[in-house]
Amino acid sequence: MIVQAVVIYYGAQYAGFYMDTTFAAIFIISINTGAYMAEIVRGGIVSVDKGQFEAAHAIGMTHWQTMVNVVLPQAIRNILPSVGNEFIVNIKDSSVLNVISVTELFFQAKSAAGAYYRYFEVYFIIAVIYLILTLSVSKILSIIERKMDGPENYVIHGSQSDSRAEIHVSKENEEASKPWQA
Amino acid sequence: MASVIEVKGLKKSFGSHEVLRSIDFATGKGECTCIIGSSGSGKSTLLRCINLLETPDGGEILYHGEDILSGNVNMAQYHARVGMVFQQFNLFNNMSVLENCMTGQMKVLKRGKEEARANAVKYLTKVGMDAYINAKPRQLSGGQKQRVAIARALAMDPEVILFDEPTSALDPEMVGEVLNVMQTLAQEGLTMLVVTHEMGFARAVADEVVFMDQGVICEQGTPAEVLGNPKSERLKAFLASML
Ligand SMILES: Nc1ncnc2c1ncn2[C@@H]1O[C@H](COP(=O)(O)OP(=O)(O)OP(=O)(O)O)[C@@H](O)[C@H]1O
Ligand SMILES: [Mg+2]
Repeated sequence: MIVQAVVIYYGAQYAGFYMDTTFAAIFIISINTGAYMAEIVRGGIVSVDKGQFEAAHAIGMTHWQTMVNVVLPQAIRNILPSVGNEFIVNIKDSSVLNVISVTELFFQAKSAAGAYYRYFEVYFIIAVIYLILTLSVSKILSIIERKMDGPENYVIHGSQSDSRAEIHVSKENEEASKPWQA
Repeated sequence: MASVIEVKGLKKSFGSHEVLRSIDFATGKGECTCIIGSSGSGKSTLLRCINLLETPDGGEILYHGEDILSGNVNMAQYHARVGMVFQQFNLFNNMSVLENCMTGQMKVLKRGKEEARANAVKYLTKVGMDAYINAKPRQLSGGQKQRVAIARALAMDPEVILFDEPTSALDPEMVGEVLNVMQTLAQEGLTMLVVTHEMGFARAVADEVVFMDQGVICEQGTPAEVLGNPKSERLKAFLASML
């Protein structure tokens, strides 16, 4: 990302194109992440079992309906951990952007430490800030993951050997009517 | 000539491998046809062609006399009328049991939520799975999954259901519960096309048994004729191997 940042930022200047450093920072992080994300999403879609497509087509869903209702929800669920990783890497990597003099967290810390001669305190504080940022991201993602998975337990409605069932599957019944095991 | 599904001269190859070589058969309304045959004989491919999960290379598939390969038949409608139950269940993993049975009705048949729900619950009750409507597929046993998959197919109110080895992926103690459900459906007059290795089921439930071998139909007839009095050596050998 350092190289990308320098090449893009100073390359653009060379071409007579002066970017605001904040804009440049967002732009660089975006393209840097975009490529990884595209690959992650593609992998997520490919990892959805072919049978899911077939079952959806077999009940008459169109390709688009299958994607929106069946495949993408599963793909998104599957890639959440990798997406979370990517975000965390991003937060940490943002510190290299001071090469194009973006005033990001680490750059600020360096100036503050330099101004007050309080190296340990300042770096300790920014370490805590990075920790809070990354922990929040991973916490939010794990909440989303749990929400998508639904409750670990499900409520059983009525009793399990339901007398309303037209076709009984209890053991005794099976014994009575198993012509195919003659 | 009141066939619901009729297959004429159906051909399918994968590369140079001719999997189906001119298949002809018909199934009438309310009939249960069991397709038997050894592994690799093309049984799954036949069902997948009928459901257009594979595109046949030649021949005709007639649904009430209309060739579904001609492009004149509305595919979503056809799929809604001809359901399929898979060996690997293929329940939608991101949905609950109830949603699995509702989504096709709402997206394809454009039914309202309440109607879809009522219909789904009706069929889940029928297969004895109404107690589990909020469960996710991963929380169910194989037999339970397959019963939900049958309810999902039934919820579309189809005319025909294709079953591809519905009990082959199940532990032995769960086979009975699924066959029970299928037998009831056959008795109620659902048109069924069942690929199975359960000879007992074929003998007790089928109206017609079709024996496939190396991409052709080798023998067909009533269970008594085909299973009780096999004519070809291949069928005799196959039946002997099933015991
Ligand atoms: N998508 C595919 N690409 C290439 N070959 C295939 C494909 N699907 C099936 N085949 C081949 O077609 C042949 C018939 O397969 P099919 O699945 O129809 O057999 P089957 O009768 O259902 O067997 P089984 O009882 O094992 O399920 C096999 O030799 C298989 O290798
Ligand atoms: Mg098969």
